[in-house]
Amino acid sequence: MRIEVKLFAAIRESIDDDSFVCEMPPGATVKELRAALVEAHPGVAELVAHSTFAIESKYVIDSVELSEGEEVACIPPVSGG
Amino acid sequence: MIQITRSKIDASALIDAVGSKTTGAVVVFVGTTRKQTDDKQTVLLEYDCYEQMAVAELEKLATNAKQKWSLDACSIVHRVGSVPPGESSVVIVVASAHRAAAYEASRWLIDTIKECVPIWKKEVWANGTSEWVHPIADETST
Repeated sequence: MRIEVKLFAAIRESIDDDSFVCEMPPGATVKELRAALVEAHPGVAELVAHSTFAIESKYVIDSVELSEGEEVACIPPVSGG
Repeated sequence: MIQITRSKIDASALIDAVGSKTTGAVVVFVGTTRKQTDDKQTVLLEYDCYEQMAVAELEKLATNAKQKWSLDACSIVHRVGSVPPGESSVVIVVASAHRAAAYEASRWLIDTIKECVPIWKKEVWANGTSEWVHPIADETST
């Protein structure tokens, strides 16, 4: 499955891209996606370790399975307000 | 009203828009850009935002606050992009029959926005450096 992850803030700046695209096997979970992002960009490993993922604008836990075509985002620790 | 904007926030307009015949208290929280934190001077805050999710989260918070405290109204406007020192980055207006609910709801809303809403700020310091703020739970927060 082609998975595209929207990136923000320090992760986006560090990678110099607003999304990360990868191929994941059917049944892959957010946990595997997190690992794929870190493997491709080890410089953001610590930030990704403390990030939460969102699918279709809802926070998800690592055990959730990915589906092609859903909007995925990597949400590092927030600082709004 | 829930809004993400790149323009200056008009707090007066938000205050004028809330309230009903049962409203006895309107509490306004304005978050502004500090010009100085410890010995560092801030020249700008840059805000990044996952807009569709930020709006969804803010709407959820407003709905929860209205139910929990029986508010007459709840408006939240968050500015993103560049916010110079002294200008507002967020305005929260709550209206209720009595002040206790308005004070509690206002406090809960800003505290929860700071935990949940996908918005991030970058401090741009006078010495030319800049830093994204990503508070990590086991570190001391600034």
